[in-house]
Amino acid sequence: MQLLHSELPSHKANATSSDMTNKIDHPQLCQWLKLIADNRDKQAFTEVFSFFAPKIKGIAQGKLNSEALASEVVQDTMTNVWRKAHLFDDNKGAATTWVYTIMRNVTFDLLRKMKANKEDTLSDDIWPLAESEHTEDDVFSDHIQSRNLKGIIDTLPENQQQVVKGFYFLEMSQEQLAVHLNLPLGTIKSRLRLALGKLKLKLGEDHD
Amino acid sequence: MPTINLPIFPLPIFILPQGITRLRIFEARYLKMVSLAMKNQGFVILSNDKDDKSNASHVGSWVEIINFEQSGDGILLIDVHCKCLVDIQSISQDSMKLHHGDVAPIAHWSEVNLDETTSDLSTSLSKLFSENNELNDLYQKQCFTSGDWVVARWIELIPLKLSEKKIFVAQDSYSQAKQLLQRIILADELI
Repeated sequence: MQLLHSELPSHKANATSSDMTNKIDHPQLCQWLKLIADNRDKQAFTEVFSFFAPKIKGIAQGKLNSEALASEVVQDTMTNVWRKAHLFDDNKGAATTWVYTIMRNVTFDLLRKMKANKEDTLSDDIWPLAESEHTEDDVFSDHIQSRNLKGIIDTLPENQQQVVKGFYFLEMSQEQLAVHLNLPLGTIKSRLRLALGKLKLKLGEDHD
Repeated sequence: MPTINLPIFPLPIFILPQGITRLRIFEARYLKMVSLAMKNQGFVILSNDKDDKSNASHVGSWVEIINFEQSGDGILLIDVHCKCLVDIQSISQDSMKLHHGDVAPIAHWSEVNLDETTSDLSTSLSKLFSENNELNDLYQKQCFTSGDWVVARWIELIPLKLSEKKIFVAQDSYSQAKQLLQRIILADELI
């Protein structure tokens, strides 16, 4: 993290305007992350995305030497930022540190998966990897038996996921649901848990 | 059942028939793919969540692009509408490394009128729409008088894992979905 952080090409952050200071507006970033966490605020996410995406892409491209992989790192990192914004705690460090930590983990995951794939040690239950050039052609024959479909879908390369980025317009956070129903967050959480427990009980627990 | 070949996009989102969502497309080489999807018959969203590896499904959501615009930062936004669920029977890969599947439409819930429970869910959902401009703008046509529409929109909206939501692609899952919402939204205890 420190390494990546220190290698952040700072000139990219303010390439557009000479009036802008070289400083990153940390309170603003924190506020955006909070809006994402509490309100699932798309505008805030767009701001965070615009701020980080080019930086992450630049760093990742340097590390991975591949534009496609770099885009994937951007995709996965920003998806995690969206989903995990509630875990960000501004008392523990800067927003940039948090995001670059996520990026580092995403990058390591990606490299690890690529390595595993190359060594052919990929077990069926490991979600597979992107850009595995040497196996994809073998795996995807034109027609496959549908009983094998689960395995095939498991191996869909993630690079396809960067095609389209869902904004998750259609999902509320637990916080939003709590506000909507005018209930404490704890009540919503326990209701979700209870309702799901009953549903699973009914379904015989085979949907895990 | 006749099949049709459509592009397949794995995405961490869940969308049922008549559902609408907005997607952003930020990679140049795929803009072309979207233009293909616009000219032809849309594409299939395959719900998947990388954090949950156990739940690969072969049911996808066949969507059509109903609107598009360019956001301020030059990223293409498309609104897609789910016309039906499909069973993905086989997958092939083209030279652009994109996947296409032979898919066959499958039935989902039947049309259901509002009952006592769904009437309450409808009231709550319509309040949510009126408080949320994005949702309101996205849905030009809103069917608050249809039980299946109300329940499906609520299922899409509530914060559950994709693997949990996937239960509700089953054709006979309507009453389970309704009961789940009844417990969460209305806090009705069921026997």
